[in-house]
Amino acid sequence: MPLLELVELTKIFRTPHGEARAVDGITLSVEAGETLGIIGESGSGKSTLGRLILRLTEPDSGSVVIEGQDVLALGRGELRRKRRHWQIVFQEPFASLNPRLTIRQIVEEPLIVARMGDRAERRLRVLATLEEVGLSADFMDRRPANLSGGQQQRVGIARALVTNPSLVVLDEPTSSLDLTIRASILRTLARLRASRGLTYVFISHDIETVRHFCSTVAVMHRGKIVEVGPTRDVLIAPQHPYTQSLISAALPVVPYSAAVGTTNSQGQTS
Amino acid sequence: MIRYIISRLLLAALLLCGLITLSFGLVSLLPGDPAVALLGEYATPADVARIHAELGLDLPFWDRYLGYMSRTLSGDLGHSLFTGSSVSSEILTRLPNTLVYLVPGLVLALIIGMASGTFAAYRYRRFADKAFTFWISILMAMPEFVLALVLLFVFYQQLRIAPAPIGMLSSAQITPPHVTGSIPVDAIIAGQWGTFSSILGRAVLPIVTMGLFFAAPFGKTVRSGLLQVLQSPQIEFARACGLRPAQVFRYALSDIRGSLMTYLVLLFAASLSGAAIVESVFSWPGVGGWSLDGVLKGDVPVIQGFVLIMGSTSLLGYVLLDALITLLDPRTRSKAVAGRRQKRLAETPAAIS
Repeated sequence: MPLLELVELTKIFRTPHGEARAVDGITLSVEAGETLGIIGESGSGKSTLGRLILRLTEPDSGSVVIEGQDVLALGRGELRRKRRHWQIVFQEPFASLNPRLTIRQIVEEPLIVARMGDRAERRLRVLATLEEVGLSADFMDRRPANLSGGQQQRVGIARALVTNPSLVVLDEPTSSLDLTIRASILRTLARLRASRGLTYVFISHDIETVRHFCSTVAVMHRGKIVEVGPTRDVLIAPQHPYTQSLISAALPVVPYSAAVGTTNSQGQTS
Repeated sequence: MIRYIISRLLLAALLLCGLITLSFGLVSLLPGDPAVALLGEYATPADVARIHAELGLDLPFWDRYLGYMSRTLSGDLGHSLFTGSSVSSEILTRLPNTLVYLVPGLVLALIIGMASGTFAAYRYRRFADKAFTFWISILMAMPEFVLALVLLFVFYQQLRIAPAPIGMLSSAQITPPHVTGSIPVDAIIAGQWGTFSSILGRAVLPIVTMGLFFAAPFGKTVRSGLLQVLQSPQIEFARACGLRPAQVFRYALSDIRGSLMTYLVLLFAASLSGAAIVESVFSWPGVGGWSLDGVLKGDVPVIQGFVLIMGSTSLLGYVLLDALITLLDPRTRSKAVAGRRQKRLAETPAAIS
């Protein structure tokens, strides 16, 4: 049984200019331990999809089943109690941390909400989780503003993982970080995936990141999934013209290689 | 923390001196000669000179400035040119009359604005939000005296449930024994609760006027502030980790609390000047109507007194505001309480990523 299953999931935003079909009948499944990458250009509905999975936005129709649990059938209270099993990491590390709280308070909060452990246990758990994401105990009493972007994102990850979730939605977790930090955050995420057996939904617009990080990839375009499959297959031999153009639009890793020529010709054919 | 508050108070004292200087400058900025205003167009030059001497207007600039400064700081705000009554004692007896409806009015504005703005933010783009925006625009386009007249028309003229706008007391009521000179305060001192509640009853329409008038801009600020915070990733995560809606709201509110409090103090300062108009409509014997009268007549000491009262009340408001915001925010609180310890902590090398 897949860990996450989406069937015909649809969300339509009604604006004064008409309807925007942000997520348009998406059907997907993710096996436990797998990492599903979702790529697509800005506005293709990637982030909305991530939020629909966790029911941070209410879908218009369709179903979301995580670990056999129909998420949309849950009542408000039940949903809140279940949330510790499904977590999210946001793109903007600073904006997603409460600037008034210390790092300890931020990471401890999900535990308090989930009523996990007493004070001493929570403290140990916060320490252990911070350690796991590569932050020392010295950070406990600082506030987000005193941390670098990479450190803030590590706090964001620790906070998402502290309740020991099974599914984590990563909504462009490295997009606002610079390249060296990006790599080290991705390594941390990969290590946690291996040690905890996590399932990720990794939302990104960066093909190179997805190539290295995801086992499966789904390509989104205007609210629909145009292509889905094992990362290697999709990125090496894209079938859908949109995927082809998306791949050709990415800058080559080696700028002066012959790839530049092929990229252009591919770009024109699509 | 104490040091911080003292530094704020010192700054406020400096600003107060500046305020007094400005109020002094008013005399020369205002059109017309006070002596002419007092004696009329056809005064003889000899009379004008006599009045100038009486008011000290013939003295050199520095003498006048320093004299005004020291008199004002010792609490003597001069005498009205027309009635001859002491400006400071007029203010002392009239200020409670104004506060008796102004403070409840602002509290009402706070409650209405907070509740409706929050409701609209949570119902963003739905019917309730649109209705809110519609009514707010109407209220914001309406000057306070129009609002006061509309309320009078409906509740006094048509429904006959509000008392007539003829001041604070009806002629049938006995004024309480003179202690402080301020009727509401004296009524409380004398234990005349009937008189006091009748004053409050007459204050209902001014309270509602102030409440509605200031609820509009405040509610709008609450709505737009909350809208922004509620969509921030920080609040999104609070929901994602399963916090109760009330707690999520508390977090959102603590994010905009500072700006809301600042706005409230601004509104309070504005309401003092708005009081002038509302008091004229309701014939309310407060500082507002009295100062408006002074402005129209060119009664310089009265105008100066009003400017000083308004200015120093706002100054006091800002000092309190600064102290409160600092105390409420854990970031600035720790800095203000133990700045050095915090600094040392931040310098310890602990960087990993």
